[in-house]
Amino acid sequence: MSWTLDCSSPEGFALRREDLRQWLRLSLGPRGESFFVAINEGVSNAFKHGTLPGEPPWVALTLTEEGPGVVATIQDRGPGLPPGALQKDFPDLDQEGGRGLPLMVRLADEVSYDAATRTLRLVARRPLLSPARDGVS
Amino acid sequence: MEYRFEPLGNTLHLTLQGSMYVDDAAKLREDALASLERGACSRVEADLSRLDYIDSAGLGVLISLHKRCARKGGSLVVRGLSGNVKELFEITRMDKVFLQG
Repeated sequence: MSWTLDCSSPEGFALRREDLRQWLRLSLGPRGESFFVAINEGVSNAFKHGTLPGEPPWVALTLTEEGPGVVATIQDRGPGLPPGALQKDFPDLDQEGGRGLPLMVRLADEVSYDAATRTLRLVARRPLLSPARDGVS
Repeated sequence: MEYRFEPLGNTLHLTLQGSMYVDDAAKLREDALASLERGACSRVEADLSRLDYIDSAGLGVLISLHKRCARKGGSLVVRGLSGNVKELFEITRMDKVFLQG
């Protein structure tokens, strides 16, 4: 199953955000909430930095159930992520901003960026069931 | 998200409820800083027990309040951290910034 969200504004995304959160919980179980955090930070970052001056905002989000998990892509039309953006650690504790991308990287199992298409790709894998812990026989 | 302020002595009691997203952050920052000044408070006690989500913009607001309090010789104390919100505080090391009640 796949899910596509074409957003022309942060407000448009906000209207669908809880649907997305619920879909991820259903698809990924407990892992869904932390992956939602990663996606939400990626989309917020795309709206904040992914719009060229004078252009209307636009972010496309797709989610696809693929193999043992979910793949999310976030595409915008901005100048693109600067080199090394995905390798940055959290900022100093007294800094008010700069936590979105490090948080996104920390909470996804895989993160990659295609500069040519300005597309972030995030992957979350479902946790393997533990027979002892989860009562599976 | 819903929030409520209640100044009591030198402490501003802040209660956050629901999910705090980037679109809530600017208004909360503005309202909270105004309440701090109005109440001449130097300390914030934030009850997060009914908050089920906070994003990086929301954490930024709490840091902003903490810094404002620190300039007046106070601090921000968070109470009621649990679940995903607590996990987010730990991942971002915000649990090292704010005193926890």
